[in-house]
Amino acid sequence: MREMIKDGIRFFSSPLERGSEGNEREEGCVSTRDLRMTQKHTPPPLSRGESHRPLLFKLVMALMIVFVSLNTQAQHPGYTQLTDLTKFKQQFAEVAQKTNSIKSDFTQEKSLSMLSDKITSKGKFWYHKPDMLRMEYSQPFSYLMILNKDNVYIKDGQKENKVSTRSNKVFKQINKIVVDCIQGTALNSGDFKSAVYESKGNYLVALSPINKQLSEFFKTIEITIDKKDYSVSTIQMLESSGDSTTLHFTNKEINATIPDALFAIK
Amino acid sequence: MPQFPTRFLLLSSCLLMLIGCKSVYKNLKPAEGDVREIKKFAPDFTRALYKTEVDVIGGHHLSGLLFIKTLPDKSVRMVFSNEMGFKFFDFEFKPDGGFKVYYIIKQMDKRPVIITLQKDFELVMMRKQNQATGYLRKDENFMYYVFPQEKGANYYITNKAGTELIRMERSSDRKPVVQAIMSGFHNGIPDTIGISHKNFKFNIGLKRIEKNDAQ
Repeated sequence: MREMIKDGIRFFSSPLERGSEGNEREEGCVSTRDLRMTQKHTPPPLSRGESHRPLLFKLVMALMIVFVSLNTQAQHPGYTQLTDLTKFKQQFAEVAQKTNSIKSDFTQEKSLSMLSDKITSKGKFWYHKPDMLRMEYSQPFSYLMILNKDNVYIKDGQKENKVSTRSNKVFKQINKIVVDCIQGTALNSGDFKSAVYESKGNYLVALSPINKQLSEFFKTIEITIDKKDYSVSTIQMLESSGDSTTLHFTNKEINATIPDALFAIK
Repeated sequence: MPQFPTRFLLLSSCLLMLIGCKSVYKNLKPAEGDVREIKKFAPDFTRALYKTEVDVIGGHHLSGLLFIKTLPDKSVRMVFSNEMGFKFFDFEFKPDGGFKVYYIIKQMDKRPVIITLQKDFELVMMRKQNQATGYLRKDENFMYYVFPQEKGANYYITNKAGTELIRMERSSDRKPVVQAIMSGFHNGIPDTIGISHKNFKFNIGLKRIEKNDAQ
């Protein structure tokens, strides 16, 4: 028993490293998956003499209507899907290439749908090409995270922690998403299936993870891009549970001088 | 007397085993009073956000946020995520004593881990207190409110007058397996909660982030 617990709680050191077989919920615990299980139903048998064609036709039509409305209206109100991504990708890549650094304030909102509640935190964000990131949370707790190439440094209150990405893959994944989203590489990374929508003032890039590891955590990641300067204004990570985490970037300064010391891991 | 050494060994090892098995609670004496009195220390998690530190075997450290909220149906939801919003688990403690896992990351999705967390928080939330089987004990310094569980018992230890909660223990028949503390109550919500396992390193520390700041 003790060994089992030990084994079980080793996840803390490397949350994404260890895999486990089977997601079956143990006795006494109920999975939401069971609750949300879609009811499969068999259509009533066709009566004698009834043709297949009208039914099939109706079904296809109904499905098409559902799909069209899902894709354009219901999912992203105010947005229409871009069919030709060439121009968008090209412009976004051009801007991303010219962007060497970003300095910004951020507000993070963790929405807990079933609890009808939000946890809001605030801080400052610095990014420098190609893979240096500093996120400094100041409200309502202090927490500092620096990503510099393959190293992560965390200052949590008074506790300092240097982690190699080998032992903390959660950070690596989250940071990779943030960096990929900012650089625009997520669009071509192969980790995601992407769709782009546009409204009057924004583009919205919806990324669905193909990668199995990522899809366990996120259903979609939606990036809102300001048409004015092609800069990222929000990154929203949606979980299958309906909960989400949104990063809002404000007071953005593109290509501001950022001292290297800010990304230094001592 | 060739048998003597063997007998002696057997006898002495039995004695040693008996001493080893002696319960730390054995010397407690029966006490008068009402076990229901302990309920006054039960936390009322209407809505609370805690900065959370977890230390596990091998010197590993994890920090995050634990959000606890009582829903209109009186069930208590508990969501643990890291500072960046990455969710580790989402549990529900139902008013009828039931427990439900809404979400847990695959790496933690193991029965011993879930049961350990469930029992630890049930101890702190003062659930599974059957008034009919609960009883009171005392020693020179403390009062013990004892609630037998399926295995072992939950002990709530107060000062003699029963006015201060000293600590909580989840115990086997002989000794504490988990010790927990809870202090600094404001409107029924404790500022500090500490949970510490005795058999292996698994400690949880919660420090409340002020409600006004957290909204």
